[in-house]
Amino acid sequence: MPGGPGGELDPRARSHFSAELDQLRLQVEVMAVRVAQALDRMGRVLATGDEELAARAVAADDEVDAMLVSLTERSYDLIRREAPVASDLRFLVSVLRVLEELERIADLSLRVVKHAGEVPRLMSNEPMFRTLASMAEMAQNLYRTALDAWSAQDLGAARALADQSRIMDGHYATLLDHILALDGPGAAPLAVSAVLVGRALERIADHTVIVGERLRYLLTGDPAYLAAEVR
Amino acid sequence: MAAVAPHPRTAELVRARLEQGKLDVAGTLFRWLLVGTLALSVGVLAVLLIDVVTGGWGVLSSRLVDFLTSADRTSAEEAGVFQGLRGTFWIGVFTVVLAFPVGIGAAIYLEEYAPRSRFTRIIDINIRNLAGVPSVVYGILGLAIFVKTLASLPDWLGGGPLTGGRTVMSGGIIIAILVLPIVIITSAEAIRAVPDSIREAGFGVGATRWEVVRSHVLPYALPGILTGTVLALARALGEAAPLILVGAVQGRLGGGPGSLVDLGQLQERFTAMPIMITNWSGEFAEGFQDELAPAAIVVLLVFVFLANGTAILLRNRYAKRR
Amino acid sequence: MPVESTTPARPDAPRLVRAPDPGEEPASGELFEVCDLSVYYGSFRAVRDVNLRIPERCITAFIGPSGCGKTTILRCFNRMNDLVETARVEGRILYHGVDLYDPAVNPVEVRRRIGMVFQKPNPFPKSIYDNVAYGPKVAGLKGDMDEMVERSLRRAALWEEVKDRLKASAMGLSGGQQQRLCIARALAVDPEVVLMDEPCSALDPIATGRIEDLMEEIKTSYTIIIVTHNMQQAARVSDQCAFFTTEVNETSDTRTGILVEFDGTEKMFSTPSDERTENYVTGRFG
Repeated sequence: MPGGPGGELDPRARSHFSAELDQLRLQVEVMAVRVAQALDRMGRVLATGDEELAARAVAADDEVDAMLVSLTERSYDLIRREAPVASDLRFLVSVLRVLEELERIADLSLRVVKHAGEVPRLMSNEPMFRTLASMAEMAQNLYRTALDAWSAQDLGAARALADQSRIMDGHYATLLDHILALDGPGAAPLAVSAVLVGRALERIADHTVIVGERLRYLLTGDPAYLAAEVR
Repeated sequence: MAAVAPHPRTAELVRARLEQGKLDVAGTLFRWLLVGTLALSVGVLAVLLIDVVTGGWGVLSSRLVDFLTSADRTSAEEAGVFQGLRGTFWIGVFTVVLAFPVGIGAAIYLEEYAPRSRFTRIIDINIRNLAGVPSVVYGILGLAIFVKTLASLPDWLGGGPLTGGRTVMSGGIIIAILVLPIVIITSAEAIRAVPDSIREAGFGVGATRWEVVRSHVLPYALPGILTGTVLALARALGEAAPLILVGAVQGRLGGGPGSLVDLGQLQERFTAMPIMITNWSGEFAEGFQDELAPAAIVVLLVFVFLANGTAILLRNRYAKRR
Repeated sequence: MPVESTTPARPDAPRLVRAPDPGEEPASGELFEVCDLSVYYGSFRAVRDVNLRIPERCITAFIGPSGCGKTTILRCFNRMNDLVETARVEGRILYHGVDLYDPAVNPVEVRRRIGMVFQKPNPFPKSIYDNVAYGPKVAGLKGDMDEMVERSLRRAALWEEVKDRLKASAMGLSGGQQQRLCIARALAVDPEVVLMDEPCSALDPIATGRIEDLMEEIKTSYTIIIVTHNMQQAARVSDQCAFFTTEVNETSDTRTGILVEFDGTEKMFSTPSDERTENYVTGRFG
């Protein structure tokens, strides 16, 4: 019951601050959607090797970086001005940490995109390429789950992310098997590309799980969830 | 940000607005009316003073000491106010000794110790009523108790010798009772005006109520209390009606001056300055109305001013300490 | 793995929600035990059913909106409510196991051990020296008075500023200095507890900061309970916080103060247990 007996929630109390927090939440979602689009582009580049699409992805990444800077600044500004406590403070802290993860995810997708030129070569080894494609799809699905969890502030979905990412681990193990099985003259450069792309995709999944952890911090206040990081 | 020079048109408008002064007719008239009332009050007092001083100047300038030390006589050239001075002096002493401690003590009790109840409120109202009772009533009270009743008590109960009937003691006591309500009321006001924060501070460090009253409340309230005593004393020294009823002699007393502070005199016939003044004002013999009475008035005024002045000096000293 | 729920587990800070059984020993380190405390002004109940345990030698803050009875409750700890004629206290406050409201207890002695600093600085209109010396004088403390005065003024971080003018009137000091003088005055009788009723609300930020530093310094020797409107101050200085609010009584249209939550300060300002607390500390409700 809002306010509880004996206290009325004053709708005008700190309304400016509340509005700013809502604005910030929206903007973080916008940035998250941009990152989703980047992952989508990454998936298509990996499937087709489209160099033009790759170039567009590079340009779009600059936008994401700029958004990160501005949202980070805005968060610090709110902390400085409004002396937030309790849920307000947890929100701002988790926003700052989630922004980091989103930026990392965007960077990793860019790394994959930069291998656009290798795609034809990667396609030559079908089973390995299929594994990579599954990993890319898995990464996108995981990210979408995290995005939905954040928008809905759904603790259960956040919790489930960790379980789902185990499937990704399975894919990565398979990929390594494929890579180790490679031989022949073009094996070394192919292996290198495959490892780099595979590693990037696996780390995207890891960072997505961490977004879930930050959301769990926001909802439960347990600082242990701030400690999770990709090693 | 560069300073913007005001647009000339704007500046004109603003200046016109600011410089317009409505002549405050009502205010000025009222102010002069107030000055007028002040002038009237002061003027009346000034006229009285001048009248009295000019009337008594002859006597005062020519034979002041003699005037002050002589007893009342039939002839205007020899009559003096000594007996009146003595009576008034003792009235003052009784007032200070009886009314002040009792009155201040009662005020302390009412303000600091007594719980707020209907009973204390009734007492408070009654004290205020007593302050307004005509002084003649106190005279009747004094007559009934001191002169008649006490005097008729057997000796072993301290009847006759105690107040001895129509004596200065009776007069002093009854005047003290008369001004008691004034002392209580003004002291109570002064004590009430002490900010509660000071009391709280005292209690906060573990002082008892008496320690708080003694160390903090009373010193703070002292200026107000002293002002009250000034008022009370002035009233006491000027009262005539009760004294008449309690037996101040109208007319001439025999006997020489004696000393001012002769305690034996307390239990004998007496008179006081207001009585003598009243007396002389009605006396048709040569010189009494026009010269002696004003002179006596001047002496009484000086006496009262001296008494009040002491109290005011004391008050200012304590007020500065605050 | 931490407990997964939206109401997180509570930390170690003691939180008493039931009255202790009679004769039950308080946990060590706890100086006050408040049991079912209610305060009435006449027939109006201003505060009801407060149960608290105040630990010793740390700073406990009472926070809450205006009119919730924080000052009323604070004044119960040193029997200052005795001075208000219509005030009546029910329940017990145990201090070292002794009920402060036992008829055999002398309130004057209580106030010598549990001192108080008030909202508006209220030095006596006397000299600085006399202000500090008054408490020990009436308490009959033996010893070198000059030394006692100096010690108290040093403890209140005021000595250096006034050591050359001890005989000057206390009224000539600035607001912040006057409040530190009041603190020195309270410390002069060597109390065990210092109660502070919004001590900084009449002071500028710099003076406020100095008094907060002072509180940090002396909390190793004294137990401090502070009532404050300033939430940042409560978050900064206190170790424990008690959050009070008012409860509206529909039938009589009156408000009664109640204790909502009592927790470690860190917990209360990061993940409070009660929604009302959350709304208050985030400023959504005042």
